[in-house]
Amino acid sequence: MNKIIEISNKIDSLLEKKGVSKYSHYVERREKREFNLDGDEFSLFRTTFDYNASVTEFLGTKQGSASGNDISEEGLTALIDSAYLSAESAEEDPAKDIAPGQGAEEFLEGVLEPDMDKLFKRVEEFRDTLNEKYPKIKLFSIVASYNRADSVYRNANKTEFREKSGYYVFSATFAGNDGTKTTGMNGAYGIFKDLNTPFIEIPYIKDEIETSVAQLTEVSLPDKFEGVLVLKPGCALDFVSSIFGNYISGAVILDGTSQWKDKLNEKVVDERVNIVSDPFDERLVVSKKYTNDGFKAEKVPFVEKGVLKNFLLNLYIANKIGSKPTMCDSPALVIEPGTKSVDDIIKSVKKGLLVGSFSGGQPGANGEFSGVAKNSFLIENGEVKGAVSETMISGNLVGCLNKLVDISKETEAAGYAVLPYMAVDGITISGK
Amino acid sequence: MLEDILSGKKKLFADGVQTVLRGQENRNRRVVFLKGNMVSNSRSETRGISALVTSHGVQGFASIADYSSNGADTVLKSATENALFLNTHAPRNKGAFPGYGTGVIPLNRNIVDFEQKRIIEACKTIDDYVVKNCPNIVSRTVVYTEDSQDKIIYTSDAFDGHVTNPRCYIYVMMSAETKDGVPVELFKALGGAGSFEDNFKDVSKYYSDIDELYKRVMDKKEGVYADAGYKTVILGGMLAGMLSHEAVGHTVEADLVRGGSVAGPSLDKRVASDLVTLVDYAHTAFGETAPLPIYLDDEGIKAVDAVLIKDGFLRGYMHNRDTARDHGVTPTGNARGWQFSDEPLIRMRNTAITPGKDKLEDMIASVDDGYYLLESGNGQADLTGEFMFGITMGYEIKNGKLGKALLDTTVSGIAFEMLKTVDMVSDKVIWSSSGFCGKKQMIPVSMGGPELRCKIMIGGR
Repeated sequence: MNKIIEISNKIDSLLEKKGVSKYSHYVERREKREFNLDGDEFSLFRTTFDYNASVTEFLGTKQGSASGNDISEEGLTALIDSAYLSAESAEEDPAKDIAPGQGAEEFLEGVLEPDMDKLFKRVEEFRDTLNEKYPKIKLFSIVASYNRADSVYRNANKTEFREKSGYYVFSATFAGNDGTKTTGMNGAYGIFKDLNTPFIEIPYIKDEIETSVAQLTEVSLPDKFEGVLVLKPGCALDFVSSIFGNYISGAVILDGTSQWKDKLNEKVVDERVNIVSDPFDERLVVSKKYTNDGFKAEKVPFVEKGVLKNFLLNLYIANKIGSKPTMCDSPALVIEPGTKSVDDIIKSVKKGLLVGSFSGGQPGANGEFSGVAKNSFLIENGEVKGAVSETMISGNLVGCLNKLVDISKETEAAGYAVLPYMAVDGITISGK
Repeated sequence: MLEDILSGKKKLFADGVQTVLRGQENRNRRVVFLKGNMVSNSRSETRGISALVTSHGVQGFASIADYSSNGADTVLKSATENALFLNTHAPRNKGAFPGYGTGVIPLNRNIVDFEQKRIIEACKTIDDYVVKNCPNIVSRTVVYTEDSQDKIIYTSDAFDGHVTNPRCYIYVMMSAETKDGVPVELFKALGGAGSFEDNFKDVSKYYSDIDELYKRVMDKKEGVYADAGYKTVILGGMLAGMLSHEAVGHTVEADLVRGGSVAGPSLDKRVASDLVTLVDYAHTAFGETAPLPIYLDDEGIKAVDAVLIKDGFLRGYMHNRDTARDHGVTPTGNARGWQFSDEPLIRMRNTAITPGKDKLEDMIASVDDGYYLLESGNGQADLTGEFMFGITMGYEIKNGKLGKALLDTTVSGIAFEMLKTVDMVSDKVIWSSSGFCGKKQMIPVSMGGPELRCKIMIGGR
C-alpha cells in the first residue's frame, strides 16, 4: 500500500504543477497467481503483476481521462498530459463534476495472504473426486487463482478511499459424457475468501456437476406451449441484469429509451420482487465500495415490493436530467428470498422448464427476448423430467416478472451476488 | 511504437526448456456521444513483458508491468520457477515441442497516434450528419473505439518478430419507435484495420452507410415478428461469419477438441453440404490482405491458413504447439494473448466461408416463404455446435420478394446439421472485423462469408 500512496502523492504533485485544480485519480497494484488445468492435467502456472493508474482532469467544465500502467515519473507525467489534452479537446459541459468531499476511509475485503499450497490441493482434490464420483463427467478445464489488489482513489475535494482486497476464484468447465453422447458445456464459478470447504462440496458447484450428468437423459419437446420457467439463480441474474440494462441504467434514462423512465415510485413488477444493491452484505466477497464519481457506496433499493425506487445514475447523467446520483455504480445485487422451497415451487408447476442458463439475443428495448434454454429440464405435473435440447424460449422481461409464480427461500451466494430461484409464467416454449 | 529492449535477453533463456519472451503495448482510445452529450473521452496505454517457459509438457508464465531490462530478467526467472513448480508437483513428462523453423518476421505496420481532438471532431461530424439527415429517430449514439497491439517476440527455437495489430471504428447507433411506442434499434460499425487516418481522414465516405442504416431503422420501426419455426432462410454475410466463428470455429479449436467438442469424432467426415468450405485465414484471403492480418503468433509460429472444412468435409483444426504435437501436425499460428499479462490461447483470426457462384437476387427469388437475415447483435455456441444468434435486422421473403422488416428475434440450430442444409452460396464475401471474441481473455477477430440459403430454427415473439 505504501507504494500506491507514494504514486498517488506523485500524481497530486504533478497535477498541481500542471495547474489542474479539479481532478480525480485512481491507482491500483494487482497480482494474480493462477493454476490452469487442461482436461484433468495441470498445464500452466501463471503469475502476473500489474499497475493501473487513471486520471480524470477538468478544465473548467471540460473533462478528459487517461489511464495506463507506467508508474515511472515519465509515465505519470505522460498520463497527466494525455488526460489534459483530452480535456482540452472536449466540449464545455457543466454537468461534468466530481462528488463533494467524502473524507477518508479504508476498506478491507477478503484474505490478504494466500495459501497457494492449499489452493493447489483443493484443485487436485476437486479433480480427483470428480473423476472418482462422477465418471460421466468430462472435465474440460479448471482455472483457479488468488487475486490481490491494493488501491487508492483520490479527488480534488479531499476524498480518499483506500482498499485492500484478496480473494480466490475457482472456475471449472465440464460436460456430461457417457462414452457415446456429450452434453453441452456447463460450468461452475465462485469467488471465495477462504478455502475451508472443498470446492466439490459447495452446493451450487455440486449442483452444476449433477446437472451435466442428468443432461445425458433427454426427453423430446416437439410441441409449442406457454408455460413456466423456473430460473436457477445464475440464470435469474442474467434476467435481472437485462432489466438493469433496458430499464434502470443511466444510458437508457439519458437517451430516453427506457420504458420505465417516467415510472419512478410506481409499481413495475410483482410486489414480491425486491432488488437491492448492498455492497456491504457479508455474503459478498467482492463488491464496489465507492463510485467512480467519488461517492461512498450505499445500500440502494432499486425495486421494493415491486415498486421502482431508483435508477442507476452516475453524477453526470443525474446532473444532465436534474436528478440525484445513485450511491452505487456497479450493483452488488441481492434479491430477497421468498418463503417456499424450490422443490415446492417445482411441484406447483404444471408444465414448464427448469432453466440453468439462457443463450439469447440481447433483449430489445421493449423487453422482448428469445433464445435457447441451455442446461434445462422439462417440468411436467410438478416433476422434473429429462433434459431438453434445441428448445427456444421467448417472452417479455417485464411481462414475466409481472407473472411471477414464486421466489424460492433458498439463495445462492457465489461471492458476487445473492440470488434465489425465480419462477415466472407466460413464456412461449418450443422444441424443434 | 515499442522500442526493442529485449534483443539481448536470449542469452538468459534457461537451458533444456523452450522459452518465449514477449514485450507488448496495448493502446485504447474511446469517445462516446450519447444523444449529442459526450459521455466518454479517454485514452489508455498498458505495456509490459511476459515470459512463457515450457518444460516437459507443463508451462510457467509470468508477466510484469515494467517494460525494462530488469522487468525482462524478472519474468524470465519467475516463469522458469513456475514451470519448475508444476514439473515438481504435477509432472506431465512430455517431450519438447518439435521445431518448425526459425527466422525473423519483419514489422508489418506502424501504429500512428492521433490527437483526441481529431477523434472528437470526427465523431461530432458524424453526429451532426445523423442529426441533419435522420429526422425520425428518438436516440443516437456515436462511439469511437480504437485498440492496437504492438508486440516484440523473442523465442528459443521458433520465429522472432515485431508485429502490430491496430484497428479503429466509429459505431453509429440509432433507435426509433414503432407506432405502439416500442423502441427499435440498430448499429453499424465503420472503419477497420489501421490507425485513425487510415479510416477516418474523410468521414464523408461513410455517409452512404449511415443513410443505409437509417433506412433499415425506418424499415424496422414498421417491422413484424417472425413466425417461430423451422424455416428456409438466407443468412447474410455477417450471419455466415457469425456461423463460421461461433458455431463451427470454436468447436475446431484444438484445445476445445481435446475438451470433447463435437468436432473430435467428426474429422474427415461430412459436416456440411458440398458447397461449404471454411478457412481461418492468417493474413491474406481471396487475394487481398485479410481484415485483421496475423503474421506471427505468440509462440513464435509463423501464421498460415487453417483449412477447417473443405467441400463439406471436416479437414482440420486450429492449433498451438502443444495440440499440434499431440495431433502430429504443423501448428497454424493461432496462439494469441490479448494483454501482455495474458498467456497465448488458441484463437481464431479471419474465419470465413468461401464464396460460391450464386447471385443474391436469384437466392431471394428462390424462396417462397422465408426470411433474409442480415444483422446480428450477438451469438453464442457450445461444444456440441448448438448455436444461438440474436437477429437484429432481417426481412420477410414472400414469393421470391423481400417483404416487411423483422423485429428482433433469434435463430438457433446445431452447426454440423444446419450446414448440411446449405444449398445456395452467393458469390460475394462480407467481412465483419470490429468484434472481440471472449475465451478467458478478449481478442480481436474478424469473420465473414457469403450469403447462404439454408434451413434454420427461428424464434418468434
